[in-house]
Amino acid sequence: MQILRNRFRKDLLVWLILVILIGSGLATAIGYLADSYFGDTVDGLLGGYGEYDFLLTINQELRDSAYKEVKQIISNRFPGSKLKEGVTVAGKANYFLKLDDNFRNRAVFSQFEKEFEQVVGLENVSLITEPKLSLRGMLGNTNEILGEKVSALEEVNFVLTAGSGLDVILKPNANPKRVERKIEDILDKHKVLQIRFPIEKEARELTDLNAGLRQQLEKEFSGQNLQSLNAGQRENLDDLIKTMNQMKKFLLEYATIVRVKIPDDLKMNKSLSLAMAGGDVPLSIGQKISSKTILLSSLQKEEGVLKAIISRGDGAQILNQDVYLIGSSGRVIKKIGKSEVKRPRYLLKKAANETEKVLPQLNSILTNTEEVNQRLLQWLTNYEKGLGKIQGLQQKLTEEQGKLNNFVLSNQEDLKELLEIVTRITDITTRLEETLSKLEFLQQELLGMSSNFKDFERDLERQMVFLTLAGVEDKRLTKLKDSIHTMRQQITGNMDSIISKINRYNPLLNKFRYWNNNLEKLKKVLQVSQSKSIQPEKVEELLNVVTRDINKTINGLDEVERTKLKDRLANLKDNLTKLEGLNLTLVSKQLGRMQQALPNLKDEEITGTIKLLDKYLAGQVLPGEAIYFLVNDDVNKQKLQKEVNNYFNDQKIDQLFTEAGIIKPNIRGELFKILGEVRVTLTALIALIFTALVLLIDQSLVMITMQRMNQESDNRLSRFLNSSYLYGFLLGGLLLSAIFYLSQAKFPYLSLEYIFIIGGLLGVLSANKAVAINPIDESEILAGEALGLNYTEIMHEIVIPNGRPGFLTLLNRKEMIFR
Amino acid sequence: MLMLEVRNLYKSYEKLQVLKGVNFTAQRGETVVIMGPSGCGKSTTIRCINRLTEPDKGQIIYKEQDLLKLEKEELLKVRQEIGFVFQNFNLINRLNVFDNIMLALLKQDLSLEEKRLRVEESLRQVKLMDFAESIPKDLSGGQKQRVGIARSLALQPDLMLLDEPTAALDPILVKEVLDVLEKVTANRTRTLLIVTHEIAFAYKVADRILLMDDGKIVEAGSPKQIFETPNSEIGKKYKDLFEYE
Repeated sequence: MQILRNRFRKDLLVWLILVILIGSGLATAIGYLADSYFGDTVDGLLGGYGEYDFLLTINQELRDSAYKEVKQIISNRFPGSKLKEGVTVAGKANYFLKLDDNFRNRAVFSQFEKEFEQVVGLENVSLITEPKLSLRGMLGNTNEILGEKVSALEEVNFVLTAGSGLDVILKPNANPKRVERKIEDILDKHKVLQIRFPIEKEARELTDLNAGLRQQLEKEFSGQNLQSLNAGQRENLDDLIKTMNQMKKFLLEYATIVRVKIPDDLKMNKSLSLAMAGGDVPLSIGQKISSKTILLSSLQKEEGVLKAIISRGDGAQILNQDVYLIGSSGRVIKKIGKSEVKRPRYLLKKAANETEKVLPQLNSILTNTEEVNQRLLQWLTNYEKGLGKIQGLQQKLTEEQGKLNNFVLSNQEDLKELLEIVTRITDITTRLEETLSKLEFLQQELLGMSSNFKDFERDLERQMVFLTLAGVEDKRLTKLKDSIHTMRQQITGNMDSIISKINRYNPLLNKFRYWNNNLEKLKKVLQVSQSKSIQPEKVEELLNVVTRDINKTINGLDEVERTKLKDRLANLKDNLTKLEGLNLTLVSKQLGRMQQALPNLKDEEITGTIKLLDKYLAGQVLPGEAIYFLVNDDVNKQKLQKEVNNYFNDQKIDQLFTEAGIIKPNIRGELFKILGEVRVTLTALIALIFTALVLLIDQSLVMITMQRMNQESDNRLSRFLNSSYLYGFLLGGLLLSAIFYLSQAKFPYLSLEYIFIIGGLLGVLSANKAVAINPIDESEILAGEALGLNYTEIMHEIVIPNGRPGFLTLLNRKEMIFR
Repeated sequence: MLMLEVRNLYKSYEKLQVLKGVNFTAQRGETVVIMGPSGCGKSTTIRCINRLTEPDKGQIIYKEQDLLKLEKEELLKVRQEIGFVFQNFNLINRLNVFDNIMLALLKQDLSLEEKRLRVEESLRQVKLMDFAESIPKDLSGGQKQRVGIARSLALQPDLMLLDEPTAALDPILVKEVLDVLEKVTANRTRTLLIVTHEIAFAYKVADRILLMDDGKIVEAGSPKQIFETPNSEIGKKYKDLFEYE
């Protein structure tokens, strides 16, 4: 550094001090001008510190009406408050509101936004009150738990929950930094334990897991030290997810399902799709699909069978069961095969319709059966009555037979008596015959009823099939079906039994008719004998025929199982009563309601909804679910983690302790911080440019002469020490770092050491470009040297005056002799 | 009286050895002309004398002191006693003629008036009194060189070194410079060491001519001896030229 041994060093020193001062001053001044400008702009945007409480943003187009309404609300609800118009930016008019001191409380602040809900055109209400601190990133109900502790701090006015955080409104004279430190202390004393589950863990399991773990941990740790954060909204979300899962399941149950066997060699990819003919437009190979074509969306493939739902169109529009493969161009490539189509919605509708049909059918059956049953019972009574009378007369008839056997009818008295007996028996047998004939009719009715009942049961069975196919598992319907089936078995069993018993009367009726004919014949013979002459042979013959069969006939009549038939009829009556007890009407109504409640959606709409649900559920469930606990310092975290591991016994869970919340600097603070950074960066840029300029303009002259002087030296060390590059590096570094230091300029992430290096590099650059920037006349320097002028004199008189105007030339003017 | 003695002067630039042991002397009042082909080391020799070019080794005895052993400040003082005229004039372009000459007196221990008188005297010697206020760019090449001579004369040097003073001039301008130089040499009050290719001028003004070739003095002698009965090969060439002119 030969140059510094020269008297010129004084000039350099003066220059250096001057340049550092001017550079620092300039950089600082420009920085502060920018700071002041931006600061005023921020004040214009946000108001002064603590000046306003709320910022109301109104759509410019609705400004007049909205402003009027806002003003009205403020004067009514918050009298004494001040509203001031702010800047209008990008179609948004901003108004600042300063609440009257009476209203600066938690109740008003927390409900403030609601007061303006009805104002059309008011787009946003922002809390801008100062001093305020904001806490964010508080999981679960951490904000509520810690909010109590924060609000208890001395300088805190009140706290407001804001999303997953807290807005802490400080007292007007509070020291925000001090409160911030206290809040940090509270946050530091708490940590959130996140227990994360693998993705495959179903969301609905988590609520149960959380409850179990909570109980387990509460046993081990005090409730004050450990609190579950999943108690609130997380469970609500779980409920929502469960509901959505159910909804998806429900929709899938009622969507039309198409099952088709996929050929083994067919590889489905995204460019291919499946379709079926829809409406009245059939599909054929090579043809382009129409707007009526039913498109399918694959659900799953199992054992070569693809299960699909309809993504376009509706199950009712399916023309036939053929499924086709469609290419990306929308043309039919080939036929895949015949499908099995299940349309639960239509089956259920049909089942409901069937119930409507069955109900009157059942009523009719019940009425008819009741009537027939009563008539059967009536018949039975009549039958028994007749039979009793026959039995009563049976003895008399036998006595008369004895008489007949013992004597020949000789007188009219005997004949008269016999005629009376035969007449009475004939009356009875005639009525009995009529009764027996009625039984035949009743049997026919019973047979018809049994057939109706079987039809009813078949209809009911069919309805059950539809319901089963439709996937309706209704206990009442199943019970009804079972009951009807059992009763049908009983009723038809009874009926069959009754009918078979009645059938037994048929030969008896013939026999009875035959006996009755004989009795009629006998009666006529007796009447003739009485009026004309006795015909003893004929009377005897007929009497023998009648008396021979009387026992056989009466015994036959008596052999009929009247009691059993009576029992059967009683059973039938009971069963009918029970059947009446089944509230088929209620079931029918329920089915009707189900039919009404069925989503009135097309298949494509159902598929669209299912896909949307899938997307949402994927978003909720896929990222892996977590359980959160708020723990404080008193909890041994290692022990806690161990407990959790023991509880789950599952290596796949992740445990992580995170912050209970973070203090978010307020907008103003952030803006001023950014502006501060802008200022120091701007200052730094000015300093950098200034340094570069003075190095290039002023110091290039010095560097050139150094380079010239250096050419004369053969000593490498000397050349290095006197190198303009070394000089430039040191001077540039010193200059820039000094200006940075004095002007408080900063580049992000760069310390003063780096700034020195940057300045040094600028100096090196200046040395490298010195000749190009500030060419000097070598011959003039040589002349000066030849005239015995020293370095300083050469610089003052020859070099600097010839250089570009700068600080050095300015300073040099007073040193120059030849101006 | 011996004014200057150069002993075994060596100078090289990188690997090129320019001076290979130059030896010569100059007496007070003597005009010594150095001649030789281009690149033989004439200008290097003359620049080494006042150390505008630092020689590698040798001795330059000026007024009984070895200039190569002088400190910087001492050397600067000596340079004020040695006038130097450059081939390309080397005037300070921003200064007028007067100040260019005045600059030479910057460090002279004279009053301003004395300095002014000396400048004026110098200008008169070179017949440029009327151009005192002119700036170099307004002067002709000959005038510029005369200013250069005047700047050197203003020092009232005991030794003047003239490095090809007419080389940059066209023949017409050469004459006016040579005329001035003839006058300067005429009074024999100072020692002049002139590097030139002007044979006639050398023959006319030189007390002694030194012929250089390949970094050495190959022959020295009076102009008559050099141009009429040279010993060296280069001398013979100069003889032919002299005869031709």
